[in-house]
Amino acid sequence: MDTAASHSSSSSIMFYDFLDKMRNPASLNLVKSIKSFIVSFQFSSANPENDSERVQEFFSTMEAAIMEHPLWAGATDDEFDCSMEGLEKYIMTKLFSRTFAISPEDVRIDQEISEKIHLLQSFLRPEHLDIPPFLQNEASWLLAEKELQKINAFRAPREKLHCIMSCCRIINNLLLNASISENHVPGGADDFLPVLIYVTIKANPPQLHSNLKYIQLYRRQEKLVSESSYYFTNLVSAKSFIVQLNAKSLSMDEIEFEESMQAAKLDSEVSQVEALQAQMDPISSTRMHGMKKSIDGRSNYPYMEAEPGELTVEDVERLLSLYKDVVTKFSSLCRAVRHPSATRTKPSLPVPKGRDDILLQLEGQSQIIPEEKEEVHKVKSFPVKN
Amino acid sequence: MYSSAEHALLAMNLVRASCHHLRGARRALNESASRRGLLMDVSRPYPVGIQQKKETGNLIANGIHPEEGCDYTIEDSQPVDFYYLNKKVMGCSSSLPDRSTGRLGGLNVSESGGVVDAKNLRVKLVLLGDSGVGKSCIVLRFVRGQFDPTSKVTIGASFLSQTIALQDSTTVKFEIWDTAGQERYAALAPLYYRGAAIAVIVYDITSPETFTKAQYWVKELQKHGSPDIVMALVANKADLHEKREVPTQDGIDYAEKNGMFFIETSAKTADNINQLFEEIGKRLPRPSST
Repeated sequence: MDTAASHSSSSSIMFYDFLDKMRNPASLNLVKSIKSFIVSFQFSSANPENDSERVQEFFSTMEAAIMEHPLWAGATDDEFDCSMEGLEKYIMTKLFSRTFAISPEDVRIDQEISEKIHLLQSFLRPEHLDIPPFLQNEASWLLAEKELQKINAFRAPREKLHCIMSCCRIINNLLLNASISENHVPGGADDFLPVLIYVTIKANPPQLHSNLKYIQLYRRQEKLVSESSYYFTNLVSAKSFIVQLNAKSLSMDEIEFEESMQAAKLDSEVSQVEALQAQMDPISSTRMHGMKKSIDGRSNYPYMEAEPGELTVEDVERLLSLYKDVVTKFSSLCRAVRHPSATRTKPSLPVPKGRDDILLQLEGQSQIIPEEKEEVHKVKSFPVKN
Repeated sequence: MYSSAEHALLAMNLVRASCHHLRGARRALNESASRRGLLMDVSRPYPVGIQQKKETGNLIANGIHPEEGCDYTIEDSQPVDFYYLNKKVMGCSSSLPDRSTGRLGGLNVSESGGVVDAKNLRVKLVLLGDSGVGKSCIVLRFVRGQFDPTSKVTIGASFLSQTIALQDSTTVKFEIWDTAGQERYAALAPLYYRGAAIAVIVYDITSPETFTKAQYWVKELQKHGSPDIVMALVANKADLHEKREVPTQDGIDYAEKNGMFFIETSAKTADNINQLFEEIGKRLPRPSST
């Protein structure tokens, strides 16, 4: 509550101040250069390295222009800085779709990381990263995870970075509390990084690679220094650890690791097929559950005796769904044969699952809010407006 | 229909009004905490927390929504513990040092990562060494041992900063980056030492393996670190001399051979801790004398 609320209120005010200044007729020349920059940028072709340089250069140019501008005469350092933050937010919000995750390569990496994390989630335990029991605090971890998961709720680099900082801050509070209550010597990075990696895996933050790249390229350079830079680097290194992660990276038997990865892969393939099927044809998926019980599968596959010539285009859909049934069954069977234990306890752990439910509930709530918001907003805005 | 910017503006007006009365409470909290010279006791200011939760509800209800490039607020509770003070210190509201460097046209952000202004150096220092050799203890001893009212409060023990004044009236602000020493994270080290002006490599005198590991880091930095990086070899846990397994002379010899500065410290007794950082400060390349 506190981190999020105080951060957003202060940054809302700062953004408000910035927009307010930009509305002032005196800043017309600034507005013009901002707008022309945005337009020219949107029309140029994408090139991440060059783009970042252009944006950063524009920030410095504007910084100089604002500094000498009469509207900021006598402004304190804070006010000046807030204007620059406002500028970053304004420009990057406008250029977001032109700068964020634009290359197919980035999209691919994001997806690979997310898939790998998804697999790891199913079996990775804190012990595998040698996280000592006194640092294992589900409640704190969950908070830290949620901070990371918020990263796509923002477009401004500063705010995305803030999500990372909040996550790290929660972990640091946990470490500190643990060191006080357990009378344990503070372990510094030795304790911090493993927890951050674990939290990152549990959170599976959306578009992790693209978000990190975006912050790196478009956060005002003089702001991605010292402490921010340190914690940012930690998440970069957590990402890099996850990408390179193999059996040797963990305190885990190599064979067990490979088996767990295989099991998780199969499981995720099965659930993907099931989800797809449920999406495409709800009836056939319920029918499929019925089929699982029936011993004689033949009657459920009406095309068994059919000849190619008899088939019509209309049959394709049905055929496809039957094909998927077969594949699903086959892969479940494979899994059952290879991992008798895996079928009894589904690899998706009870903890993340329960959590997902909570998250789903939360999402359900937040979907209601936008509907209400419109009305409340209209009612409430009058007293302020007048 | 409101345009998204107008929409946001209207909402922010509200936020501004509603935040106003919060600020008083927060200020009081900050003041009381800083008077005690502590951060820890800011723990869980319930009244503020509860109030804030209400505000958050309004924020969302009032249409501040990520879609509009504005802020998204979340209703969870979080440990407050360190938050307000850090926020105050870290946020843009009082980041004076960063600001001034930015304003002076970036000064010289030198290759070695320090922002240089002839008399006030800001340098990045990276700590390397096996886990358990006491890297973070050395830093905590250094940072807490001498009280520096101007030092910014940091959010954790793995990044700390401390400013010292040298005899020639230069000040050096160390920004200390701790690294995880476990073997499985060794490959990540370049992310941390990139751009560092100083590397402090720590081993434990009671453990020859950590001395071997220290030599590995020296070689790694010679190969991949910045060429003008200042390296210090630190033999920690000097208080445990009855358990010593790495002779002092071994450390001295190795350091000499590699052009490093060597010192034996004890984070436990604070022996040589300040000397370590003062020596490093003296050895830093100064910006060309003007």
